[in-house]
Amino acid sequence: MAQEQNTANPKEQSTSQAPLLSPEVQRVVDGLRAVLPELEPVVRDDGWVEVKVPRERWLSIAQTLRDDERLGFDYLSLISAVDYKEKGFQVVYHLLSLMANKKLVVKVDAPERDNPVVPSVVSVWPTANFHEREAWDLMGVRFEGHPNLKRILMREDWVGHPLRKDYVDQRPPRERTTRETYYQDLRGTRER
Amino acid sequence: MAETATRDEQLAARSEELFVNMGPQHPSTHGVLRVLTRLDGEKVIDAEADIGYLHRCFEKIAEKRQLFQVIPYTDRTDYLAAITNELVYVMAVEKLLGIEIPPRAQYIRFIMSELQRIASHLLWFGSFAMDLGATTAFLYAWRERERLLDIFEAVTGARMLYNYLRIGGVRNDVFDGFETTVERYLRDFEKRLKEYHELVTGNRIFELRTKGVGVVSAQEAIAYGASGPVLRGSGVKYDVRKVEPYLVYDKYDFEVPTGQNGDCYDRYTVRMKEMEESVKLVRHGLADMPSGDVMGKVPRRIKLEGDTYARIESPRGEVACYLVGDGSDQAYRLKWRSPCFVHLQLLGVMGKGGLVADLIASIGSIDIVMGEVDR
Repeated sequence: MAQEQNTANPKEQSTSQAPLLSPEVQRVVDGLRAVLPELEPVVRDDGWVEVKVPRERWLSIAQTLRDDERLGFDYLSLISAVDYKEKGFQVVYHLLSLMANKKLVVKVDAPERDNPVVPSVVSVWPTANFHEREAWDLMGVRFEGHPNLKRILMREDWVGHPLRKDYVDQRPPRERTTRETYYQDLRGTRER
Repeated sequence: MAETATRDEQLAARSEELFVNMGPQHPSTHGVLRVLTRLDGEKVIDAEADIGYLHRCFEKIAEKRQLFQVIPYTDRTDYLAAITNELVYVMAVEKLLGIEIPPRAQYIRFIMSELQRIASHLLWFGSFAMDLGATTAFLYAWRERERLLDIFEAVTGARMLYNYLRIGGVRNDVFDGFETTVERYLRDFEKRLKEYHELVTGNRIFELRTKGVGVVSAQEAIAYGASGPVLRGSGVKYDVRKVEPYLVYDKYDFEVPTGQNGDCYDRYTVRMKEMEESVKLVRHGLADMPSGDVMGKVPRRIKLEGDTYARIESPRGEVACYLVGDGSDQAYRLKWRSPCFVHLQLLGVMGKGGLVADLIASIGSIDIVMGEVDR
């Protein structure tokens, strides 16, 4: 059943902006207006609905998004953290309602530069565990309430968060082997 | 009288947890995966994946390169299904720039990604059977995959890391006689697929090793963000190709195979059926392939603005790319969703209560590629 709805129109959305929404998008917007009226859903022209959520309320809203049957976002596709320099960090959640084919982007801002904190949603979607650890590891966004927030891709003793825009590599510069230094090393004539 | 406790009682009283480290260098872990297991005797209490050994800063590199320079790096995330990885990146860029792709390029992409699915599943079939001790299947699967890689080499110039898709189309047209070559391959492949079923599917040892092993319920699969054959093996009929058709998937009818129990055997059957479906799709594509250009119009000066989320169904699951542009000709941020990274969280669910050897079967049934997990 879901398939019939889906084959209907990914194209239409891009051509018609506000007035003619596809049924899935309309259901997302209606559900949000009914359950969480304080949010302002924006319909994007790629078929996703976008909301900005204040981080103080994010955990409770996440719970509602998953549990309320009018919304039913049971599937967390991806968590991405983006560094917007002086504007701070933004954590982007791509949520799906698998069987109803509803799509929602949630953006949570964390404006501090030095210690951005966002509540963890591992208790809502267990899949968030690795995603949040990765965001902490590479972007330095701390997820409050995460059961095991430690580095996942980088080494455990790594300093800094490499995907930040102001990240400076702390490692000592490596010597480059050039043709000259190679032969100097062979002959033992290289000056140190 | 405590002294006369039987041997069984003594053993029961001395139950203690044992911590066993698997990997990171171990043939069954398909790369450099380290699994931390807590055992009670032979039973697994908990299994946790430790990853990151292959981290190559793909996302950081993508921010520092021109858009077209990123394509070869996407190949190297999941090097067993490179075309689909290129596809999702290229789709994200094309979505942001609003570039139209000529129909012939669409069809070439479509055929190539379905052939890629067959190649990737073949490799998985071989290595999964070998994980369980059936070495013969590995050799046969490799034979078929090699012929397929020959076709890929003839089209793209490379066996595994193609760098073939371009923003706006594909690099070059297929060679003359592509259709007949692929058709001949498909005909042979269908016969071989039957042989594989005879070799492995009904095998009693194989069934004992996979049925009821590594069970993931549908609820768990959804909660843990599983996708692709892992999700479908648990009985959830979800396929990005159906739900959000890209390329020309909406033109053709194909089955989305699902399992019922969510065990290793179901994931196996789902992948084997997917290969059959891919054969059909490739046939459709070959029959309908239009002539014409393979590159669309791409503006000289590129300004990447806004953000977008492109997702496709790769052989391993849902690969997605979140791309943010800041008005320059480079990606401001590129975030990659790799299905295997997500699936590794299921190790604890799959392994719990089973034997250590079953954990190996579970790891194999996820079809992990560490290059994609660590990026």
